[in-house]
Amino acid sequence: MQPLIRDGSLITNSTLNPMIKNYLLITLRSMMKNKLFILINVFGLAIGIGCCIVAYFNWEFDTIFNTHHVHADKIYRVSQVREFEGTERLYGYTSLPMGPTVRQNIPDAEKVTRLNRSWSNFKVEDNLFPGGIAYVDPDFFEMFSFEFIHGQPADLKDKSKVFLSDEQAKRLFGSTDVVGKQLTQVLGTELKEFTVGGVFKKQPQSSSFRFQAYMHFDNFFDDAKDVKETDWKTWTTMFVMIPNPTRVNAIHKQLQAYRENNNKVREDFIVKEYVLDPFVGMAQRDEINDTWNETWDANPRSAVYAPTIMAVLVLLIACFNMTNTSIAISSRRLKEIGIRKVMGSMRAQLIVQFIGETMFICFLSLVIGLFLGEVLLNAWNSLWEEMKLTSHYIDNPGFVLFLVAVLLFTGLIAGSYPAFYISSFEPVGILKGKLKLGGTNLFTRVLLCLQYAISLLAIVCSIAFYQNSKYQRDFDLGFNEESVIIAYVENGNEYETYRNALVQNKDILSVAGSKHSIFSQRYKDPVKYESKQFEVDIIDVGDDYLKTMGLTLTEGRDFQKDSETDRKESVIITQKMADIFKWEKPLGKEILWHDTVKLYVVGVVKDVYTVGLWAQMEPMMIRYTNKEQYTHVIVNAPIEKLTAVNAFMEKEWKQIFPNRLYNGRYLYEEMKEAFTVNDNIVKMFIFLGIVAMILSATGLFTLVSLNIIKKMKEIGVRKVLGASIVNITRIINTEFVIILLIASVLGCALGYFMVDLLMGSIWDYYQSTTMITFIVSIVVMFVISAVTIGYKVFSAASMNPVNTLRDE
Amino acid sequence: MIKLKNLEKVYTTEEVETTALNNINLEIKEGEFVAIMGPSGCGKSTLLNILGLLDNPSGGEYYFGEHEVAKYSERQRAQLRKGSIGFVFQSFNLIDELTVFENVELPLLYMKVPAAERKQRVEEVLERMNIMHRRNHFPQQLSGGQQQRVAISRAIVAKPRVILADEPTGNLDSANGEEVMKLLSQLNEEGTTIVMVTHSPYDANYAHRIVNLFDGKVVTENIKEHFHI
Repeated sequence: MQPLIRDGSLITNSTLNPMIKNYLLITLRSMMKNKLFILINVFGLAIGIGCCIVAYFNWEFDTIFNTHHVHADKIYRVSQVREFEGTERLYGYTSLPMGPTVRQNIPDAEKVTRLNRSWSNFKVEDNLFPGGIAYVDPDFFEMFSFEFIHGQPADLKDKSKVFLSDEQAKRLFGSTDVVGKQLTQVLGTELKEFTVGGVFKKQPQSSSFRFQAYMHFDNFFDDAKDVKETDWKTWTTMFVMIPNPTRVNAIHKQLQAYRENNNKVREDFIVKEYVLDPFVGMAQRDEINDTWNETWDANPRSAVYAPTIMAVLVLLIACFNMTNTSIAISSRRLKEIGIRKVMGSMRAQLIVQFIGETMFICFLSLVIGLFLGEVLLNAWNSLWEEMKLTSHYIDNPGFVLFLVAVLLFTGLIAGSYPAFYISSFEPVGILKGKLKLGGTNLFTRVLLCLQYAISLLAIVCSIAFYQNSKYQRDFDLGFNEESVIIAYVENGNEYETYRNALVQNKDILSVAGSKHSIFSQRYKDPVKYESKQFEVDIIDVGDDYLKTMGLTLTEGRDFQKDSETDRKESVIITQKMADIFKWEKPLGKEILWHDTVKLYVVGVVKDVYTVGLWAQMEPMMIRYTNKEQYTHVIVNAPIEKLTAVNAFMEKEWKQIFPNRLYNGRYLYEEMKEAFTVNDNIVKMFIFLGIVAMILSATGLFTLVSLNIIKKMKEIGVRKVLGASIVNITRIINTEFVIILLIASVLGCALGYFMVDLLMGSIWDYYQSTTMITFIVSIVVMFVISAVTIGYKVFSAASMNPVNTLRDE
Repeated sequence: MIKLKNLEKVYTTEEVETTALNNINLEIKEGEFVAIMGPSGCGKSTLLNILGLLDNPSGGEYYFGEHEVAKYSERQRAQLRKGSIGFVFQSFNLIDELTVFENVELPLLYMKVPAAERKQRVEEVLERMNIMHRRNHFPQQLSGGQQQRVAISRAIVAKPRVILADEPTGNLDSANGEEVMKLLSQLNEEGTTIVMVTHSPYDANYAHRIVNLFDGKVVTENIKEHFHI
C-alpha cells in the first residue's frame, strides 16, 4: 500500500513563495486580458486615493492650526461676552487698559500681551514697501513660538526695535541678516525710524499670527494718535498665559471686577462677562461662530468638510466599480477556481488569492495615487491664495496608517464578494460547465445604483454651483461694485488736494469723500425708536457718496451740501432698517442714537449688502460728516475706462504723496473672494462629476456586457423566433433603465440636501437647486450612459443567432 | 484500492428528488483500467465525481485505500485529492492564464514540492508526453490533442495512485483520441490505476473491465475477454 500523500515528506516552509508567484502571474496575466477595465479601475482608485490625500492634508492643516505654539495649552484669550436685547455674543476683544490692569493685579496670569494690528508703509532708503504690522507687549515672543534666525526676541521691550519675518526682511533688504539696520515706518505724513531687532522664520499658514512685522505695543499710540493707554473704549486682543491650570477659575472670577470700567463708558456695549477663551481651538471656534478678533481664523468648515466628503465619495465610487469589475472578471475565471479546487486548493487559499489580487490592484492604485495626490495638491493649492498644503509622509505615522487603512478598506470591499462568493462553488458544477456566473444580481445592481446616485449628486452639485455663481454675479448688492475705485488718505486736507488733481480727468464721472464706506469700514451702534431698539451698521459719508457708490434713493432726498442740520440730525436709511422698525412711511421718523442724539430720516435707499452675500444683510444708517473726517477717496468711472483712470490716480498719487504707496483698489477686487470661492467649488464638483461619471459608466458597461453574455441564448432564441433589434435592445436595457431611474431619485434627493447644506454653510444669499438643475443633470447622466453602452447593446442585438445557439 | 458498498447519490431540489446512483457496489483493484459506460444521464459522471472526491455520496460506503471517505469534509477531501488522484477532463480544463509548464506545475505547488524537484518532474513528464517544445505556450496556442496531453501531464505529474478520466477523447478527432488512449494505456501498464468514463466502445476496449450503468445502477460488468465491440 502506498502512502496517501506520497510527497508529504517533501513539505517545506520555503515553498510558500512559488504559490504567491503563481498567484501574481495569474493576476498580471488576467489583468492584461482585461486591460481597459483594470486601467480604469486602477486610475479610478488612484484618483480616489489622490483625493483622500488632498482631503487628509487639508484636514490636517485644520487640526494643526496653532499647535506649533508650545505653550498653547496654557494660553487664554481674554474675551468679552456682550449682552444686547436679550442675546449674548462673544467678542475676541477686550478694552485696551485690561493689559496693564491684569499684569499689575493678577499675578497668576504670568504673562500678558495685547495685540493690535495695523497697515503701514515701510521705507528702506528711497524704496517703499507695504506691510502689515502687529503691536504687541514684550511677553509676546515668550508666549508664542517664533523661530528666530537673527537677533533676540527679548529686545521686544525696546520700543525702537522692529521684528521682521525672513520673507519681509528679504523683501525689504534682500537678506535676512539685517539686525541693526534702519527701517522707516511711514505713518501718514510722519516718518518714524526703527532698528531691526530680530528676524524670525515666517509663521506657517496654520498660525493665527501671520503678521510680517512686530513692534512694542507703545508704538500703537503713535499710530492711533487719539488713543490713550487708559482708554476703556478702545479695544485690543489680549492673551494671558496661566501656567497653573488650577488658577484659571480664580482668574476668571478676578477679571469680572473690571467689567464696570467698560460698562461705565460704553452703555451701548455692556460686557456681561469676561471669559478666558482657551487658545487651543480658538481659530476654529472663531471661524464657526464668526467671532470678531484681530488674528487669523482657521478655514471655513465647508472648506474642511467638503473635500473630505468628496474624497470619500470618489473613493466609494471607485470601490464599487472595482467590486463590480472584480465580479465580472472573476466570473470569467470560474474554470481556474474549479481546477484549483480539484488540484487540492482549500477555499481559504482561494479567498486569500482573490483578496490578494484586489489588494495588488489597490497597491498599484496607491502608488499611482501618491503621485496623483501631488498633482491634485498642486491643483488644490492653486485654488486658494491663503493656503498652500504640502505632503509629508515619512514623518507622519498617522498618515501612513491612514494610507494602509485606505488600502485595506478598498481591497476588502472590492475583493470580498468575489473572494467569498465564487470560492464557495463546487468544482463539479464549474468544470462540467453547468454553472454560469454572469449578468447582474441584487448586490451588483445596488452597487451600480449607488455609483450612479453619487455621480448624479456630483453633477447636480456642479450644475447648481454653476447656476449659483451666475445668480450671485447678477445679484443686486444695492451699490455699484463694478465701476468704483477707492483710495485711502489720512485726512480731509489730503482728500481735498488729491480730489482737486483727480477732477481734472474727464473720464472720472464723480469723486466722493467719506469717513467710512460699504465693504471697507463701518461701525455698529444701537438706535432706538419708541420702545424698540436695534443695532445697525453706520457709515459716515460726505458729498456725492450716494451717486458715486451707485446707491439708489427710493424715497426722500440726499444730504444737502454743507448743511449743518443734515450733519447734526439727518440720516438716510436702508429699506431693511425701515422694515425692522416696521415703518411704512419712514421719512421724518425720529430715532434716538446714544440715548441722547435725535436723528431724523430724510431718505431711504435700496437695501445694501454691506458684506456681500456671505452673511445676513444688516440694517444700515448713513450719516453726513465733515470734510475733515474724510479718509476715503471714492472714484466712479465708466467700466471700460476704469483701468486708465486707476493708472491716472496712481500717477497723481505718486506726485502728491511721494512717501506713500498708492493704495487704490477696485471695489470689485474687494469682493472677488466671493466669486473665487464659488468658482473653486464649481471646479471641484466638475472634477468630481467627470471622475464619478467615467467610473459609473464603466461600471454600467461591465454589467451590461455581463448581462449580454448571460442572455446570449435568450437573445438567440428570441431572434430565431422573430424579435427585432428594438425588442432585444429593450430586453437588455429595461433593467438598467430602472436602476438609473432609482439612482436619479436618490441622486437628486441627496443633491438637493447637499447643495443646500454646502451653500448654506458658505453664504446667506444663494440660489439652491432648481427644477432645471435636476432635469439637466438627469439628461446628462442618461446621455452619457446611452453613449457608453449603445454600441455594445446594438452589436449584441444585431448578432447572428446561429453563433450563440451553436455555443449553447 | 477503491471499494464502494451500497453507494447512493440523491439530488434533491424543492420539488423533485432524483436518484443519480442507486445501490452501487464496486471494487477497483490497484493497477486496474476500468471503463464506465452507459447512456447519457445514467450516473457515470456522478460516480466519477464521487470516486474523485469532488462530491460526497448521499449514502453507502466509500473506501479509498484503507480510509472510509464517504463522510469526509471538503477540507479532508481536498487534502486527500492532492497527489492521490489525477483528473483528465473532456474539455481539458487548463488554466488559460498559465503556460503549459505552469499548468503542469500547479498540483506540485499545492503539494509544496521544492522548486528544483518541481522543475525536474514537470520537465520529465512533458518530455514523456512529447510536449516539451510547447512548455512556454499558453493553452489557447495548442491543438486539442496537445491540450489533452498537457492535461494528462498535469494529472500524472504528482504520481497519483489513480487517474480519473471523464470522456478524455470526447473533444478530439480520432487520431488525437487514439494517441490519448495509448498514453493512458501505457500509464496503466506502468502501474497507475485508471477509471475512465466514456461513450466510445472503441476507447472502452483499452480497459480491462467495463462497468455498465443504467439509471444509476450497475447493470453489467464485463472483463476484457468477453468484450463485444
